[in-house]
Formats: sequence, C-alpha cells, structure tokens
Amino acid sequence: MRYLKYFSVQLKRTLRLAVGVFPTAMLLFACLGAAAWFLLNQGPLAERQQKYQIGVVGKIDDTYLGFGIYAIQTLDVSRFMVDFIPMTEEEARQAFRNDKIAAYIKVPEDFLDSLIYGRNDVPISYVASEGQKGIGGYLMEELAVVVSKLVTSAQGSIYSFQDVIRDYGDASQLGEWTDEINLQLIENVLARTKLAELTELGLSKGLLMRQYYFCAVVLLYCFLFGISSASFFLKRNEDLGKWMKMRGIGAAAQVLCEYGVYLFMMMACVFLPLIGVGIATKSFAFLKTKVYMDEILKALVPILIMISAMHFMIYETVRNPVANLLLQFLGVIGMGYVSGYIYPASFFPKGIAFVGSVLPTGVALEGFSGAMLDERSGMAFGLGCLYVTAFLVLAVLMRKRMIERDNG
Amino acid sequence: MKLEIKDLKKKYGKKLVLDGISFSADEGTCVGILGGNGCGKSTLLSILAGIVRADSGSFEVTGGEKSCIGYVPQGTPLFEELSAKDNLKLWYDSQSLKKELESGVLKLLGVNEFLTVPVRKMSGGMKKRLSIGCAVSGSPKILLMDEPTAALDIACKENIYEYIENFKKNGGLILLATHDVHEIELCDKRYVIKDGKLTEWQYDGDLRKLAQWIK
Repeated sequence: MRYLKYFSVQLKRTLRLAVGVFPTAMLLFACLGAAAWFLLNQGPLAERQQKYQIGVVGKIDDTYLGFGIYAIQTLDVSRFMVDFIPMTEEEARQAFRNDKIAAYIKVPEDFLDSLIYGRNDVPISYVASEGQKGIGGYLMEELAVVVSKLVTSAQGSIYSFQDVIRDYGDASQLGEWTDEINLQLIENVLARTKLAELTELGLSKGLLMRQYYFCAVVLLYCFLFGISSASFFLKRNEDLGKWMKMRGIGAAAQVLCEYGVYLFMMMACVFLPLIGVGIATKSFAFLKTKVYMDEILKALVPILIMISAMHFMIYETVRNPVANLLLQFLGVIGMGYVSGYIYPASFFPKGIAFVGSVLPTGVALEGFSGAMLDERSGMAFGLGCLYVTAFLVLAVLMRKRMIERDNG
Repeated sequence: MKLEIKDLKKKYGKKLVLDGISFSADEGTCVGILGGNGCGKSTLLSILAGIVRADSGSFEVTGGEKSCIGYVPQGTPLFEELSAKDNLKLWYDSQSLKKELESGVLKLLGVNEFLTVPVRKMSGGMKKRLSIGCAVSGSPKILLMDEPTAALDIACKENIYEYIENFKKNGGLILLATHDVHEIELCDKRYVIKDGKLTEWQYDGDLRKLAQWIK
C-alpha cells in the first residue's frame, strides 16, 4: 500500500513534468526525423540517383574515340550512372579542382594506334582524388584489368581472323570483315549486363537502407530522450530519499517505483509520435516491410525497458547536471557510431563491430532490426536482460549510497 | 517513555564521526545537540531515524517503539512539483488529514494557508512548516529535528518554536540539532559533539564559551 502510494505520487509528479518534457521530446523527434528524411532523400545516401561526371581528355575528333564515347553514352547501361564529358586537360584539371567532375580519363594521342596495331604500350590514365582511392579505386583497377583482357582478347581474335582470311580466304574484303567483327565484339561488350544479375540484399543484415536508418533514428531518439527528460531526474530532492527510507520505502523500492513511472513516461513519448507517423504513412508503408505497426511498437517495449534503465543508472551515478548531460550526449553518439547508427557496422573492422554489437546501442539495434525482418534475436534479448539487471542494481546501490551519505 | 543511546560509533572512510556516543532522554524534554559544522550531529540523528546504520552500539526506546520516531531533516524533503495537499496525502489518510487540518498539528503549523500552492512556489518557511507537518504524521512520540529554523525569518521561527513547546507539553521528546540561540534556550539538556565525543554542556547564557569550546 505504501509503495503503491509512492508510485501514484511519482506518477502525479511525472504528469506535471510531462508538460515540459513532451514538447522537448517532440522537438528532438522532429529534428531527427527531418535529418533522416534529408539523409535518405537529399543527402549523400541519395547519390545513387545522381550521375557521376567523368571528364575525357584526348583527341575527341578522332573517329574511333568519338564513336567509342558516343556508343557508351547512348547504348551502354553505364549511361544511367556516368556522364562522360569531353574536355581539354586544363579544363579537366579546373573542373576537378572545383568538384565539378569526380575524375577524368586521359587518353594519350597514340593510344588508338597502339591499340589498333596490337602494341598496347600507351596506357590511358585515370586521375582521381585521394578520396576516390577507396572502393572506387579498387573498382577502377578491377575495371582496367577486365577492359584490358577484353581488348587483348578482341585483338587476338581479329588478328587470328585476319591470318586465316589471308591464308585461306578472299583478302580483298578483309577491311569490311574486320569492321564487322569489331562491331560484333562491341555488341557483345555492350550486352554484358545479360551475363550477370546483381541482387541487392540490403545495407546490413538484409535490411533496406530506409529500414536500417529508420531503426537507427528511432533508437537514437530513444537514447537521447534521456536528455529531454532531464527535469524528471535533476529536480529530485535528495532529502526526500532519506525520508522515504525512514518511512520504510528503501532504496530498491524507491528506484523501482521511480523507474516504473519513468518507463511509462518514456513509452508515451516514444509511442505517441511513432503512432502519429505510422497513421500518416499508412503503417510505415515507406519502409517496405511486411511487419505491421503494432509489431514495430511491440518490438520497442523490451528495448525501452533497457534504455530507460540505462538513463536511470546514469542519472543516479552522475548527479552534476552539466557532466550528466554531456556524458549522455557524447556517450550515445559515440556508442551509436560504433554500433552502426551513422555508418553500418559492417564498415568497421571486426573487433570494433563486435564491441559495437554488444554495447546497449548495438543490442537495441539488433533487437529492433530483427523485429523489422520478423526475426527475433535470442542473443540480443539475453544481453538486454543482463543490461537491465546491471543498470537497476547499480542504480539501487547508488541510491543507497546517496541516502547514507554523511551530511555532517 | 525514554530514549537510551549506548556507545554509538560511526566511521566514514577513515574519519571517526561518532566515537562511543551514549546518553538518555526522557519524555516531555527537548535535548539540544550542538557542535561545529560536520561534527556528526546529522549523522547521529540519521542513525536514530534508521536511515544510516551505526558501525556499533545501539539505541532503545523504553516504554515505546522505534516506529514512534519522526524525523525532520535539514533540507525540505518534498515533491517540488506537487501542492502541499498532494505531499501531505502521501503520509496522511484522508480522514486524519482533514482532522489535523481542522484542529491538529497542521492547523498549528498554519499549513491551511498554502494547501494548494505547489511546493516550488513556496517560501522557505512554508516548506519547513510543511516538512514538519509531513514528519509528524502518525503522531510520533519522539521527534528528531535537524536545524529546523535555519535560514527562516523571525515569524516562521516563532511558529516552529511554538510547535516545539507544544510538542514538549504534550509529553513528546525532541532531539534538536541546532546552532540557533533561541533553540538552545528551548532545550532542557544540551550536548556538544567534538571529535566524535559527546559531552554535556551547561548553558549559562554565554554562547561565547560554547564557541571557544567548539574551536
């Protein structure tokens, strides 16, 4: 009865505080939501919708080179991703410096002759910034190997064909037939996409990019909610804890009652805006997931139990407001980064990715993304339970310490 | 009813705050606990209130129970966001609250005047009176008060002195940790804590002697 009374008083107190907490939380939700929208629709992740601009430096008026660029620009599938822009070397350098082109290809004057006569001793150069040396650089190297193999094989076939005609056929039509075999080879190259099919399994663990970042942004909001709800914790009265202890409500009972009320407030502040978004977007249709809104919300319940316990523990441990808020902000951003909230964790080395996956942020992401794919993770659930227990035990110990602190 | 304290000891880290405190007090008296800042007055009261556990020693309430102890800590242990009435409801059932507000201790403390005011909007005096009002729920026979009039104006102090006198007259026992001259005068017995030891001090109206002793 006594505990119930304390719980109800805490609930009443929380409802009074909610007037301040709710708008702050909604502001945070709106900011993160807007950031996610820009990220997915306008930002770097939407770059796939843009074309790479590549400069081509060389004798463009050369028939073969001009025809090659024309063919790629009009017939090849790469025309959807790359724009080749003919320019002089000076113009290319200038455009490269001004970030107008991603890279440029320098075709030396003797390149085509060297190619036609099978010498292959004049290489084309690909000029890119250091930043392109990552995956782009590797792809370019691979591409160069593939192209050179294609070219030398084509050359081999043409020369063999020419030898055969000279020895056994009519050499007067050699030029015409060579052109024909050339066209046939070009046609085969342009039709290369029929040879392989690319299936995108998703950004991470089979999640589509929008699903992945939806999970990350919702969880980031949940973790940062601890800052929005600062008034719930910082306005607490230390003497009250001592007094409650005297009246038979010990540290554990105090923490559990207050934690229960905080969890209730957090659930309200997380579920209400999510339900709003869910209704506005026809049960999160934009996520293209088969999971319904109620299942997404249900999946968040154990995660919120863990996150709220973490907030409780932090506020019990660090009572200085500035230090506390700084710790929360930097801690959440740091842990979120390592756990893949900003870049997918698969981008990190194995060791870091593992640490990120066992941190509370990683456990939350694993649990929530699993729910999105309708695959529950027992490991994440177990780790989450461990975290909840550890956070609450620590919070009780800190409260006990505060109650028994010497006042002189 | 009698409160008997035997050889209480308490250490915080290496610092011995209470070193074998023993004394007794009878009902209808007010006992003053004096001493410099940080000497262990609040620790002693916290132990008697059951908040802090002593390292050794014991205390007994003969002719009563330990549950009949009320405690008014140094600060104001109240829910800042709630009104006086909401705070009182945590400690009183609705019937006894009504009774106390009409003719009991809450009326004496003047809590009626600010019943619906949220604690955060109250003055220090109002908060202190409300704290005492909450502390004395369940009609305690022994009241532990930790500097109850610190930083209050004269009118508020008078209100609390009146309450203390009244509590004594009704057979209650008060342990008062204080620095206040008037409160010292209200006490029937006075003890000083210095270096963890408790010594009885005979007050002759000259506080300078106490100041020198504490130094």
